[in-house]
Amino acid sequence: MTRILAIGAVLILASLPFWADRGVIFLGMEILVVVALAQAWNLPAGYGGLLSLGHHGFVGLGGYALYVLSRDLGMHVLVAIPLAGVVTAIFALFIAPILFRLREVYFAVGMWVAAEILRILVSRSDWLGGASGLPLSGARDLPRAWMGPSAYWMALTAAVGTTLLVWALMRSSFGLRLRALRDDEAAARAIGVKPHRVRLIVFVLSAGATGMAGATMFFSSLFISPLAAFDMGWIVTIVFVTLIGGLGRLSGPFLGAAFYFLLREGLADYGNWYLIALGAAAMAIMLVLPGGLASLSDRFTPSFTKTKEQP
Amino acid sequence: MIWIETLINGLLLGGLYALFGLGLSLIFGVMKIANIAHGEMAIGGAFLAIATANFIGLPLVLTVPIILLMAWGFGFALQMAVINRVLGSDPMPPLLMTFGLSIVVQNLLVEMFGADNRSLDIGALGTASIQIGNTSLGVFPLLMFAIALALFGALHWSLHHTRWGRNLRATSDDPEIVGMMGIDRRRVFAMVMGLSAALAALSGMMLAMRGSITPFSGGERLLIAFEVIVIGGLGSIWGSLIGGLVLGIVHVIGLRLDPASGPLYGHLLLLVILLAKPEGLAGKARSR
Repeated sequence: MTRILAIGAVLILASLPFWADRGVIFLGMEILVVVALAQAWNLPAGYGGLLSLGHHGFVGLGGYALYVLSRDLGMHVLVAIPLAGVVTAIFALFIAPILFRLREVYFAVGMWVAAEILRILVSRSDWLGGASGLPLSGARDLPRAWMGPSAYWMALTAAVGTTLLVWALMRSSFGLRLRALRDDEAAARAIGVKPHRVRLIVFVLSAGATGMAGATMFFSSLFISPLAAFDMGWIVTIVFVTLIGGLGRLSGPFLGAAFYFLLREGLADYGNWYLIALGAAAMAIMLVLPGGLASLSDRFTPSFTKTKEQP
Repeated sequence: MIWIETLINGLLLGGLYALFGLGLSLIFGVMKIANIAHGEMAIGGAFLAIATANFIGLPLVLTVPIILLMAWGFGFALQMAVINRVLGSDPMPPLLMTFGLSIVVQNLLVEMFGADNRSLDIGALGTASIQIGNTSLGVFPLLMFAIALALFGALHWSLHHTRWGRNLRATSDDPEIVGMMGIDRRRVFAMVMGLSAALAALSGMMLAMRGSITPFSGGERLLIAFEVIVIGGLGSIWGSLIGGLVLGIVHVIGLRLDPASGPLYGHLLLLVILLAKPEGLAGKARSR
């Protein structure tokens, strides 16, 4: 039943560019990108206990990868967007051996430092347009009228794809190993879980999905600059959306994104106040509802199939 | 000669960096958590000092102790009202909680003070310098360095020679057991958070006296504090001093060779240390 509903919802969402206006399509794309980003961040953080404060580095890297693949290799943008995710994943594979020397809170902040290094290096590179940025040379790959809808469908693919990925992983034995590691590393090791390999896999998958979502976002803007690409705002949004929605829950990113966009659009006339409200809401949620909005349903429908969130 | 001057300037800047790291290191040492809002506490303290000194017109000699007291009270209250409630075996909830706080404080500062550069005016002291041989050294950087060293010394002494310090070390070793000895660990944590916030505010004010700050300066301060404690080695306050001095020297030399580099070489130093000596320059404890 849930599956039929989910497929129906995806079909309705996919048809949106045919009946909505440009503003709605753009907002829909933004929401879907945020869902994909939060889902991708939730995989290592919520299910694996591998929390990063540097995923904005992957957002920016994915964006720049798209621009370079399109400009230097003449690749079609719709091919370059998924490939940008692959580039980001490969990058993550290479930095993991260094950053995995840090654990827990140190890993989280270490990732932030890695994102800062990326931002500084990119803004100093003439090949990447320096601090002023790059235009998207692949903008002519598509007719102008199709740009918005294409970005939207790419974002929908990313959001549905990451959700399916997390869903499938968590039903597999791999998901079981991942959660075992989060809940008790010593016990998990004792039954033969290999911590390094399991963490590396979710980290690389998460980076790849984040890179692809980032590429989608910067595809629609037709221009990229280091300040926008490596903006701390990305990680702030990702963390708060996931926290408010529910860490380690499949529906968390959707609920959190709904909350985030309602707040942002509702307070659009009041400058930075939506960020203040968002931060305060995240803090309040952690105090009174540690499982996020997604855990509200548990309070009314006791279920034996769901795993408990707070050990 | 220019290199000796650069080296000394790096050391003096390193004293300030060490102070940023000290507050964070205390928190981690006692509670095993990270305070992501550490940078915002520093910058928030500095902005409050700017408001008090520039707008109300209070002299700095009065402003600084008032801000330090307020910061201490803020840290204490924060720990008692918020952080203690999410403290447990998992270090992530406090990290996320302070991340939320950092965004709230940063954006409140933007709303209150705007995004412009601001600084704390210290008058003639800011430009005074003394001549040693061919090198000229600023009086104020020297003063800051002396204050930083004195604070490290005072903290070391009080950790080992006072009842407060003994309680603190005991709580750091085993927070469960100290409860049985009649120590309320939540109060100990709150005292440490207060001290850490005061140290953050002090280093933030020094930063604003030395140069200028914006509401967005907090993130970079946190990263510096973090690098100081990882480079120096976790688990000892002297590690923070060494980490601060090394990072200060690397920053100043990096800026001399490559003026547009900003904090890049400090960040890269962190990666090099992680590859070559993950336990830090002075640390024995494994990073966790």
